[in-house]
Amino acid sequence: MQYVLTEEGEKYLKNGLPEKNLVLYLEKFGKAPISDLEKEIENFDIALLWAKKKGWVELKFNELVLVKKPESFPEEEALRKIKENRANEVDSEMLKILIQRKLVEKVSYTHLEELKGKEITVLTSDLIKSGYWREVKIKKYSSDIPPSETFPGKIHPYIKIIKEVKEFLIGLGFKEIRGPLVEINFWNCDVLFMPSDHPAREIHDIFFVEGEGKVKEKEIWENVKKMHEKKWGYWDENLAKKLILRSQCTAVSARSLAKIRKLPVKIFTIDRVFRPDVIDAKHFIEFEQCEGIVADENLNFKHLLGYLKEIAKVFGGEDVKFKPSYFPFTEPSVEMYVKIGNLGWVEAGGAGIFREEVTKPFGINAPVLAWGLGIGRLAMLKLSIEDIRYLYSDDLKWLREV
Amino acid sequence: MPTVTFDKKRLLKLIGKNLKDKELEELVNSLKSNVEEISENEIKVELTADRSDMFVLEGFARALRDFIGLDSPEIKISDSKVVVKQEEVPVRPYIACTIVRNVKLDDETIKSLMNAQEILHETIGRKRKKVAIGLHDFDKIEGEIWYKGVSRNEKFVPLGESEEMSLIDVLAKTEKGRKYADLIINANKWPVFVDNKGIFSFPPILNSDRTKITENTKNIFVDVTGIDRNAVKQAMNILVLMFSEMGFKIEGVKIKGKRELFTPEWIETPIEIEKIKIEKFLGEEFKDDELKKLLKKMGYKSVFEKDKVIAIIPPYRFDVFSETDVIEDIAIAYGYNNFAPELPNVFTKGELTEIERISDEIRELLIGFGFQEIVRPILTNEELQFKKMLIEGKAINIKNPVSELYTQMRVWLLPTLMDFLSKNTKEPYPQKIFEIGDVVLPDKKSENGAKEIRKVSAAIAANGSFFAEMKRIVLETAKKMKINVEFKDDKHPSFIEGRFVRIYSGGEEIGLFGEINPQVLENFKVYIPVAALEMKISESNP
Repeated sequence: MQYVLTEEGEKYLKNGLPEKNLVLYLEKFGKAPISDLEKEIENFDIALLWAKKKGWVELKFNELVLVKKPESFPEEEALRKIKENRANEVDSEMLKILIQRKLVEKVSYTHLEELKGKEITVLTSDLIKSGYWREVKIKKYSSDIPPSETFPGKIHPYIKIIKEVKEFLIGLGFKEIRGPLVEINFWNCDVLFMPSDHPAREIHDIFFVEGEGKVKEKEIWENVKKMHEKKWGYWDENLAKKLILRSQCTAVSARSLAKIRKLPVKIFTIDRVFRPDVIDAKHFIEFEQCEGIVADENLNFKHLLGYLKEIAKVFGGEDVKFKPSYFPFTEPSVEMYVKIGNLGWVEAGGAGIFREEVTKPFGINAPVLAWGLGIGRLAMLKLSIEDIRYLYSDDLKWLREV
Repeated sequence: MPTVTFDKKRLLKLIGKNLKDKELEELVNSLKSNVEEISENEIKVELTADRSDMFVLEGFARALRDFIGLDSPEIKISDSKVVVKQEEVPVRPYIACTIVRNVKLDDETIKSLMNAQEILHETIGRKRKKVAIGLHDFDKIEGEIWYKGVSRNEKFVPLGESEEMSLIDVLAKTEKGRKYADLIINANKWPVFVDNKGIFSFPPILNSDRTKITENTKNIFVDVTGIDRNAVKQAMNILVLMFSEMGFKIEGVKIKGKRELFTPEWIETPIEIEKIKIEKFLGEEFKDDELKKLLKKMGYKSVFEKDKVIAIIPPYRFDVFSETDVIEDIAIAYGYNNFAPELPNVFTKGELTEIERISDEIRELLIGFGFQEIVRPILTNEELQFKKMLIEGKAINIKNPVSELYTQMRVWLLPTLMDFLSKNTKEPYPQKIFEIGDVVLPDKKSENGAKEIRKVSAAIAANGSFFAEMKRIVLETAKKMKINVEFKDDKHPSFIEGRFVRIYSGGEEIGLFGEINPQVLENFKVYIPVAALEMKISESNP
């Protein structure tokens, strides 16, 4: 049987027991305010507990008074003896107290006796504490060992890229916004000037869900209705009310137009959209879109290109070029390509200036630049994958390795 | 975005300039369309939905010819003095007709005609619902022409048949009849064109065999019918563009119904644009002669006044609504890459939404606990999220699902994690995974009928008990969310009895944790114990 000091026991032996330090401090003036003692005496709580127990001090109002000066500090003496391997000289009552105070612990190493001279595989804490490690032979390992099958916790690679893009956009002064996944057709299509019979509004392009939505913004509803009737000659109000799964994040930008109170505004969203596509390497029924708008007085087409060029930097391309395109809600409409090393020109996103038919119903007269970044494409490039389904992978091996 | 394949040689012949593939590709891409493929004889192009004039080869060629600065022939319409008498036909109320003279049809032009009809039916025609086109040998039509509604028992010999058939039989027995029957079947009177010899056109279904077009046809009668006046006009004008580009002569027809109308309605609409507006919009100044050239490249004639430009919108362009549309064309003609991009000084402060910020903190925490993050679809199915988990519940269902795996919105994340574990039973354990994502619950009170909840769910699949570790993670997550949580031992069919806890905060239930019921493990074919938790991070309504 062997006794050893704990870390705390070692500390008290070196710095003095807290109750001893307390008494020595009080000896100078006979008493001291608690608030001072709390600052001056390390482990004051413990010191107070033991000094009171032994009847050395008393609490009077906010002051501690030394009422009896101890002659000796037997605990300290006992700690020293144990340290010097003379635990047999310490009486058992004292040992019990010290063990209770977690200053001393009992160790038994008899079971290690039989390991003497033998080869062990696992080095243990007992072997080290007892010093028996000197008496055993530790089995050799080699670098041929198969690595353990443990894996680190990791962020999803796609989320990591999304986070990087978000940080980049925040750096450009864009504020993140969110919008609902289950959307009213009105916000997904009608406010974006897509005529009621636009081919992209059919069941091949949009998931429909049961029920009708309620558009609270009555004035905007009426304005959009008028705009459609004037420009397209008709408007299917019932279709506009239908509930769908958001098919484009432009719906989020559209909702944000209703909330613009003062300019300038720079906002973005990166979030999920849904399309009833046939699932293959290029198409999944859900994917992320990254969209944003800049609204301010006096913005023009060159500014749109300027923002696009800046945003394209997130692709890390060497050069950027633009091409005319078509979106129902922007005019002009632009496609952006970036030149990436050996891949050549890669489509990076689309953009445009919102049509008046889109902004007018919201009472907005300033230009609104709208852009979208091909975030899925970006992720696939960065991760060197050719199948979009990997972004939503159920393959743990891939996630562990990527 | 329709994709079409054009005959490359014919295209180049129509443009009037021999272009190398590379030049042709660059030219096509300078407009809104995208070249997908160029081979020796063909060019495959993805067109944008707005430029319907470019859907037909001849229109496509004209746009390219204009763009490279060559002159395109003026399109003129003379009067044929032919009258079509129109009765009310409610199921297809709008018509336009024209006569194309001096026609010479060869294989190329016939192919062009067929392709044009097909794409116009698909796109502007919305599968013949909005617009249908019929082409006839005008010389086979005798006497007065009528457009009228008739009973389903009227008869004629439809194209490709030798016997007379009643209209109802045409719907029932011919391929086209069956395909398009829905468009008229419920109407009392069905639309036909009739001459002295009887029915010669049954739009939107079939033409007659009697007036069919052959390589000997010298003059063509075109009928366009539909339910949308503008779409009818649009289809007709694109046909006029096509026939003119083929070098044929177009003659208009007087439609005499309730009102009189001369078709094709080939009207050159002027649009006034202030020069300052062009400058302001594009951030670039242009001289008058420069603007004139740019407009011509896009097919506009133009007149200049002191402060404004008057551009004449070509009658085949149906995508030009306002000044902005013309300004876009000016930008396209100038070349997007010739504008110098500018970054304006718009000072704003960027930031994440609160929900994403907290999600990020929880993400970091779980990664610290050694969990691998996963990202999975929000769409799921009833079997997976309810039945296999031994519970019942309601979710938002999709009316037009494309796969039985994805038929409804997930209402909780844990089944997603169980599904993931079931796909990876060959991978070494322990497997520790988590997802931070959205779930969607039906909510009648909400404006979009839904309540969206951002949640976190984590699972450990390993031999051993991880009940206590789950509790630790819940406590640490709560700390990140700055909330106090309380626990209540309870029961849940997905979990082992006596090893399930509900998590509360401020009296509201916000989550759960425990060890998964072995029956659920069996359902997912996961033959190792799983401990899991799920907690709400935030709730949002539109």
